[in-house]
Amino acid sequence: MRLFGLDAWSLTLALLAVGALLAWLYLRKQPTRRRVVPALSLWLAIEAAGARRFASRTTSLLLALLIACLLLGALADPRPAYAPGDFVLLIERGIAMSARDVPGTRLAEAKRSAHARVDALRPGDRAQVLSFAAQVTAHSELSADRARLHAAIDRIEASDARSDVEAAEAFVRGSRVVSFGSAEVHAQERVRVGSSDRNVGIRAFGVRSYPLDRAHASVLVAVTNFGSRSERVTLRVRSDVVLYEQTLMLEPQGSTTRTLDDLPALALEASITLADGRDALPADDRAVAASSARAPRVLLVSAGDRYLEAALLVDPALTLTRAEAFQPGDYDVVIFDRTQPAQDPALPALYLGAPGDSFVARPYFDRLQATPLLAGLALRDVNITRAASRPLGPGDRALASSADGTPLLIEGHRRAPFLALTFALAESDLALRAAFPVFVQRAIDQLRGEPPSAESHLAGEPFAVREGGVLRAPDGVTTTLAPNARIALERAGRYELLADGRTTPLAILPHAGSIAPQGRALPPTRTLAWYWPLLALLALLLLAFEQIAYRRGWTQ
Amino acid sequence: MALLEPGFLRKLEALALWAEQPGRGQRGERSARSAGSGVAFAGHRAYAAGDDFRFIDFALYARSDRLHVKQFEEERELAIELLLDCSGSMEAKLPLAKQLAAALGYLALVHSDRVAVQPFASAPLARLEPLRGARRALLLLRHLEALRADGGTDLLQAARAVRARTRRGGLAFVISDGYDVPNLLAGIDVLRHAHLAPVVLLLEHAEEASPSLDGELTLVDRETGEERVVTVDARVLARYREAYRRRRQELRSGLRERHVRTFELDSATPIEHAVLSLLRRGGVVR
Repeated sequence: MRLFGLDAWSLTLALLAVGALLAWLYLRKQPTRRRVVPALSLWLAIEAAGARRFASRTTSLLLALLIACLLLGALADPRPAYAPGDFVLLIERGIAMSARDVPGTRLAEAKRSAHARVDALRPGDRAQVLSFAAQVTAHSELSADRARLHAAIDRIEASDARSDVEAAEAFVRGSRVVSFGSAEVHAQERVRVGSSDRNVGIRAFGVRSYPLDRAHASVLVAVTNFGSRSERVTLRVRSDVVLYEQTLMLEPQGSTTRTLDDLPALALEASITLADGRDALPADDRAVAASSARAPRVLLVSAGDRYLEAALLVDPALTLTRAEAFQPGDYDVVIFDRTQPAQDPALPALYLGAPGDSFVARPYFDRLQATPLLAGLALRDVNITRAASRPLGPGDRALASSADGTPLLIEGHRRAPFLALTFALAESDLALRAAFPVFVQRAIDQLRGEPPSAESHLAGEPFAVREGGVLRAPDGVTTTLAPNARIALERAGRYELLADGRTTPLAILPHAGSIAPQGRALPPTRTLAWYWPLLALLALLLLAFEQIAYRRGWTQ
Repeated sequence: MALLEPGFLRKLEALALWAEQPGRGQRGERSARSAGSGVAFAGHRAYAAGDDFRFIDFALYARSDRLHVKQFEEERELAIELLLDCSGSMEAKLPLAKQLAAALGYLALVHSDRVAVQPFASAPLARLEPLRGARRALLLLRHLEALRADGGTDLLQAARAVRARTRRGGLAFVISDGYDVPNLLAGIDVLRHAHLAPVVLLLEHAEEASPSLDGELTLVDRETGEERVVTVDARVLARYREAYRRRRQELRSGLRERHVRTFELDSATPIEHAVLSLLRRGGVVR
């Protein structure tokens, strides 16, 4: 407690002086009002007793002294001593904070409150700005610089991930926390944001192309009503055009799952719309899914082979590019027909008529490896004029060879996987066999490898990137990832992972969930900054009481 | 005249004081039954010691074997004594007291009754000896106007003074606030013994019945000048009102026991209403 008006010495002197004056005034004989009455005898019998008069006079004096003390105390202007502190301003930025049940969004509201709290910091206070969704992020160091704190608050962006309250509490444990958000965080002060729990969200959305029909896919979409009232919802799945639309009725906390077959294996988007359009959280009303299906792009480096081209065109979706010499490009497979590139093309390649040091006459398929490429193919009676006698390189293996061990089909991997027939098509009747188109298509599929899985993850959920590469976000920002890196993406949308010349689509779904505000607000503990108004008010109340007491004869 | 308006005086001339038994006095306009002198036979009554033998009806005695005296109606004047309390406590009530005395006196004078005024405070004040005839009304009113409220109250002494001056009976109007109850009742007894039928007009002031006092006050007795510091609050006021009521009740009881006609008047009552309505309804004026 500090005095900002009269100092302690002056206050003491004033109290003594005023107290002495009041006591003197009360001790001396006070003049009373004179009233003439016709018969004093009537009054003498009922006159107040002397002891009562003494008590009332003493009460009156004490009241006067108390009022004087209060007024002098107000003049001394006492104020409470304040101990500065360090605060953590913890702002929730999870998906629930994107709800629009308050002006703007909940995050905007929370940031406004945080700005106000920064402005309310007292001299000596310091604060640090943190935010949390799936992870906790520090936006500033502990600072008393309000401008830096305001700037840190402005930098906070909404996330599509769910808020991990436990992680946030563990992070700030032991600190004086001021939390802003709709999730209940253990804090000394709390600004509770949000009012509505109306939210219907897409909980899951996945696309899987059929193994034997990569142009089409099966789609799964799950929708949940997280609110406390029934909702009528329209579900749409679309690519460029609306492919599916249905109206659903969802009970509170109810879910529904739809499996849609034979949809085009394209980049799809699912969306939901409430009948009255009043979904408090639009962020989880839309989800995208990535499809790995893509027509193979093949470069044929050949002088021309009608049978080979016919076998390639068995797949109507295949995009064939013909060339007489290899030109690098965006191809899934390069087929070298009786030609050899000057250098490794660094692309999956099928060599037909691979060169060799020497030739073996009339070899035939005798030793066939049990491999999906050759499964079920009748090759043993294929006539071959000659085949190159070529030693296997490191890591290479012969999938098929003659009885004398001459490799006829070699599988290997240099900078990219390759398959090589050691004989030319023109020097065998393989191209005439029914198995040839199947072999070509299987070879292309094997060289392309397994189609990259159409991964989808919930925003904020960590997952591993096995091969590493470059991650391109929906907004075009790229991030280089090491192999086996574990990442968690907090913004929903369609990402791409570029690795080994391949592009793997990646869909991040918003982490839909309940947005009902939890817990209750905890306003800051208010301490009186000034006591003088309170003291003056008390003095006025005592004066009023003294008036009443005087009228009732309790005081004189 | 300042005390009574001319219009009111004219109304008074149509009225008369009424007494059950006129006092012994000169012949006036009032008929009285009395054994003896008179012209109109009124009746008989039983003989009592001291009756004049000349009025014994021996013819009736012969028939009934009992002594009766003849009674004759005789016009007699009425003796009116106005005892006016002029003590200090009457200050606020004195104007109405004077008006009442003036009205009653004027009534008596215009009907050829004899009117005497005996003001009193702690001792009898200057007495206005009996007047008779309307011509003396001015003298009566001037005497009343000159009275001032001051000093204590002693009706007993005033009553004794009246008894000493009065040989005949009559009416005695006591106009007072009645604060000194024992003294007032003793004075009433003296008047009754003097064959003066007392009629008490008790005046009351609203402020005295329910004073509007508050806080610590030095109360000064108007009559004695005695002072006392009193703290007045609601409780004290209630107790005062109760004490006032009890004293008033004590006075009423004393007067009732003595069969004294009593009229209580508020000091704010207009004189016309007091005389023409209250006293008339009470049978004092007809």
